[in-house]
Formats: sequence, structure tokens, C-alpha cells
Amino acid sequence: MRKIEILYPEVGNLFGDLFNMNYLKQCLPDADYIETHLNETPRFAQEDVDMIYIGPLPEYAQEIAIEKLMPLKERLEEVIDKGTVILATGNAQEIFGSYIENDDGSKIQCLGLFDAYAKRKMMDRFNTPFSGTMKDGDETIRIVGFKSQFTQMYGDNGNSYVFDVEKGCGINPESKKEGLRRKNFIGTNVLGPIMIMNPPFTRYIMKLLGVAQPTVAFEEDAEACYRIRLDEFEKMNVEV
Amino acid sequence: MIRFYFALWAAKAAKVLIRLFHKVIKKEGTNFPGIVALKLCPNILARIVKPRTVIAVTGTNGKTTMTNMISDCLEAAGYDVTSNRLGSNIITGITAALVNNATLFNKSKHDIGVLEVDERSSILVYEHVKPTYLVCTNLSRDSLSRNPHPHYIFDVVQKGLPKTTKLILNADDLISARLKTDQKNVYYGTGHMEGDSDECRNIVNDIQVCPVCHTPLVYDYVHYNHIGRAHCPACGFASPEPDYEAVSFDYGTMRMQVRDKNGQIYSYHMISNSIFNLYNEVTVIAFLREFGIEPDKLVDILENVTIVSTRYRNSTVEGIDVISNMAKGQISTACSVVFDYVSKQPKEKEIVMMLEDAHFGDSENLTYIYDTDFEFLNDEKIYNIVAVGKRAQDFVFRMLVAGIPKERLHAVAQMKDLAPELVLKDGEAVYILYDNYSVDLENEARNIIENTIRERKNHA
Ligand SMILES: [Zn+2]
Repeated sequence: MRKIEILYPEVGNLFGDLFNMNYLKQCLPDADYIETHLNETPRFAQEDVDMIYIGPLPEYAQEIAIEKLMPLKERLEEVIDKGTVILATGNAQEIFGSYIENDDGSKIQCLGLFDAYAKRKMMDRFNTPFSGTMKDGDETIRIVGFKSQFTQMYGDNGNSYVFDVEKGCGINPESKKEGLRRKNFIGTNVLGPIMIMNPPFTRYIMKLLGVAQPTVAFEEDAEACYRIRLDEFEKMNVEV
Repeated sequence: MIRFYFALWAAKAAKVLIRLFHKVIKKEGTNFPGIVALKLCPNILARIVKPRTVIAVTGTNGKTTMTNMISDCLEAAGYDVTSNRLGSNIITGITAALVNNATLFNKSKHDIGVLEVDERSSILVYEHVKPTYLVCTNLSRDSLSRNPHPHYIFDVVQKGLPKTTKLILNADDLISARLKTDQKNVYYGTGHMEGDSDECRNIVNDIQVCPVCHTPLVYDYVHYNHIGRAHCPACGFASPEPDYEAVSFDYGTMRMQVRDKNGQIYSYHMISNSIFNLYNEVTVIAFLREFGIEPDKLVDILENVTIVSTRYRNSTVEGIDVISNMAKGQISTACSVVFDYVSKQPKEKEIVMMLEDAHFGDSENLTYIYDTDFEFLNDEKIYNIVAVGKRAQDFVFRMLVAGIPKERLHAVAQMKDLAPELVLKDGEAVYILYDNYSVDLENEARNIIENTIRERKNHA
């Protein structure tokens, strides 16, 4: 049975993003979904799991999560190199970067699995719609969603990004490359929840998990919503 | 100095102009003197006279009701009160209220100012307007495009508050209750109530772990979301003891018993039976007692206080109730409370759902619907739900994911297609759930529903 570990759902639950997992449960009911709390040892540290998910957190909880995961840095690196699927949405991806800089210039050291770093601007909330593309084999998948965040990420993700930007922006307002990618680690600030709003992306994740012919839950309705959004985003003029 | 007086007088002149042209400028006009004053003298808030006692009201839900109730009660107690109840709760509205309160020679016209303050404006406002009291209703998940989570709002309010301000805090909200814990604060709360659960039934609970040791908190009871009493099984951290606590409620006689910090219990008229308004009333009682109003006098005052509710409308047509409930779109906690309420009403019912905020532009961010408890609507008695609008498909999809059977769900893009989707059984209730930006649509939907009921009755 596939094991899917949800890290810190008691704090990493902003913007409805836990529905990425709630929905995956409906798409892939025959998997073991493990919820790990802040004071527990993550399952991936004890045995191999098939997927790890971590969602957007309040800043205080993001810092606790960094503290909790820091001793597991090498293990995480190993897990990524093995090809375990990791999905980190919203500011959860920053945990895996090199550091987070506060408004006052102070820095919080992160896991350092990516060179990119984040800068917080706590009185300057950044909101934008987002659309972009990614490759699923030979096929190009289109992605729609939203960004709503206090941080921007900087550093070179030219060879390690997730989506090519069509509308909106990448890891910062000047960037055209969204997210952080290393093997099957996917980090992105695209909210929606992304797996709800993008059935092709959910099928892509399911393929990474070894599902040969993936179908998503309520596929017809999911596709209908997706098509309406694609159409709207097509016509939309997005200024960042 | 000259600049200050020029700004003050110009702002007052602006107010006269607005009165002359009020039909043109309408509601936005109440902030206009504030805008003028801030433009001409950016530090006007520092210079302008403030009432001797300033009561700031803040928090995610219930600020406006609270500001109105406190102002009304203080006036009923014979105090001379000004407030920003007609203007906005950000810096322009607060400046406008203070311009209004100042004489031409910068003397305060009123003794007491009750100011509703937007949480995000805390730092800007409290730097110059130092409240004597701060009444905080609660900090909850709000519109994500501005306030992504209540811990963020907590930090903003905490940073802005002066040391001299006396805080009146909600003991049942473990987020705002932790404001300025180094000071002697006053806490209010409501005890265990019928309908409480022993764990959170909502998707959103913004304080699930102990702030000291990060162990999952154990809730003694939960009213809704994270509002209730909790303790940490590991380190002993717990909700503060309320100084004023509503200990029992009698919905038949509409009276509630409130214990004060001396252990005395007084019986007050319950001005509403909704949990939000019960909290509002306990908050007002805690504040007014601390302010020095004698308990017996307060009991009398609260006999006559009313709450204006524009969010609820009810009619009965041919035996079918048509009930409108406003559920603030983009605010998951507000929508969840309405869903919970509707699901608990006894009749068979249909829901017409119009929660989208079309004004948000071409493709609004709907992530909040995955923070909202559509799961509450998964109830056999709610046998038909029609989502109306451009985003109707997204709402239907959300409800499918909530486990609601597809045959109960319908999406129509336009209001004109609503009538054929309605079943309208004898004796049922139709709920119109609408957003504060879709008040016009509520009227339209209501007309369609009422007319369809009559037409079908005539044909039968
Ligand atoms: Zn603890």
C-alpha cells in the first residue's frame, strides 16, 4: 500500500491547501495517509514513504517546522535523491531553501536543499492570478491558480523550476520560472488548491506515484471547472 | 501649527461641502474630511485633540456591532459619546471622526470616543491615538488577500498597542487572549453551551497546538472554530479564566446569567440568540463593568438595546419560508457559521447559493471555499442546492468533494435559469445565501423564488 505522509497539518493548513491531500484521498483511496504532528518523528525518517506533503504555514509555525526538520536534513536529501514525491505548497517550500530574510534583515537558516532564499515583507501582501505550463512526458500541461503571499524567493532556479510562467510571475515578480524542482520534489506558491484546480497536475502526481492510468475524483466536474478557468485566464490581463 | 489648523479647517469645510453635495458623494463622503486632513497635514492624528477617554474596538468579527452597542449603552448611561460608526475603520475614517469631534480651535466636543479600528491599521492609528481601553472581539481567519492568518493579525495588533491601554479580551479565543500577557487584562467568555462539541468540527482551527510546547491542545469545549476553552496536556498551558462569564442561557425567557469577577451573578436580557451576538453582549457587559457602570444600571440599559440586522430577511409565501442570510464571501468562518445554522433548522430545505464576489475581477481567488465547511450542508433535509453565478461550477465541485450527492447539486450561470431548478415542496424553507456584494442579486433571487411559488400554486 502506498504511504503518503502529511507533515504538520495542525499548522500547515492555510488557504484550504490541505484539500490537495483531501482530494488525493478521494482520487487514490487505497493509500495509507499518515498525519505527522510537530512533536512526532516523521514517518519518512523511520521508513520509506511514497509521498510527503506539507502545506502553507503561519510564519511562527514555519520556523518551528524548520527547527523540527533540520536534524533530518540529510535524510530528506536522501529521500529526494531516491525519487520520493514531495509536494510543498505556499511558503512551505521556503523551508527547503537556504534561508528566509525578515523585514529587519535578520535571517532564519533553512534546510539548504535549494540555493534559493526567501524575503519576507510583512506589510506588503502580494496577490496575483497565475497561469503556466509544465511537461508531462511529451504533453504540455497548463496550470491555473493564484498567489497570495508575503514573501518572494530569489536565487537561480533556472534549472530547477516547476512551471514556465504564462501570466503572473515566477518565484519573484521579475521571474518567469515558478517553483523549486529537484527530482520529484515540487515546491510552488501556486494556490487553488493546485490539485483541485488542475486535474492534469493531479494525474501527473498520481503517475509519479506509479498509477498507470490515473483518473481524478469527479473527473467530469473537475474538468468543467478547469476549462472555465483556462478560458478566463486566456482572456485575462495580469499585471504584476 | 498653521499647517495643522489649515488642515483642520479645510477638513471641516470639506464636511460642509459633502453635506451640500451628499447625493453625489454618498457614503464614501464620510471619510472625505479625513482624506483632506491627511493630505494637507500628514501628522494631523498626532496634533488633533482626542476625547478624554478613547475606547478602541478591534477584532475579526463583530467590530461594527460592538462599536454600535458600546456607543448606545454609554449614551444610555448618560455619557457624551462620539464614534466613527458612520465612517470607515481605517486611518481616513478615524481622522474624519476626530476632525468632527474637534472644535475650530481644536478642543474636544465629546468626552468619550468609541473608535472601530481595522486590525491592520493598528500601528498607524495607536501611534497617535492611544486608547484608554481596547476591546477585542476575536482574531479569526479573514480574507486571505489581506490577512492570511490570525497569528499575523495578532502580531500587528500586539506591535501597535501602547503599554497604557487596558485590554478587554476574549478568554475563549486563545489567539487574541494572548495579547499583552505581561499586563493585567480583563477577560470575558461564555461557558459551556448546548450544541458545543469537545473538539473542533470545522476545517479551520487556527490554534491546534500549545503555543508553549507545540503539543496538540485538548479542548474542554468548542463553540466554533477555535473559540472555546483548551488546555495543554503536556505543560499545563490553558485558556485564561474569564473575569466575566456567561454561565447559563434561557432561550425561552431570553435571559442569561453572567458571573462577574467578584463571583456575583446578574441576569441580563439576551438581545439575540445567535452565538456571535451572545459574545457581543458578554463583551459589552465586561467592558461597561470595567468602565465603572453599576451592575444594576447595566441590567436596565441592556433591556433596551437592540441590534440592527440587515443580514437576515424572512417571508412566507403559500406556506414556504423564503429566508435570506448574508454570509460574507471570502471569509470562511462567517460562511461556515451560516452553513451550520441553516443545516440545523428543522424543515426540509433548498438553498440558493450566491457567494461569489464577481467584483473581484475576471477570475476571483476562491481558495477560501476549501477553508469553509460545506460539509455541514451534507444533510438529507437539504435536498436541493442551486449555485448561481459565474463560479457556480466551482461551488458545486466543492460540494461534491464535501461528499454531497450529485443529484442534490445544480449549477446555473445566470439568475434567469434559477426557477426551473427549484423544487418548492409544500411547507419547506428556501434559504438564499448571499455575499455582502450581491445584495442586488438577493433581491432578484427572492423575487424569482416568490413569483415561482405563486405561479406554481396558481397552476396547481
Ligand atoms: Zn504545552
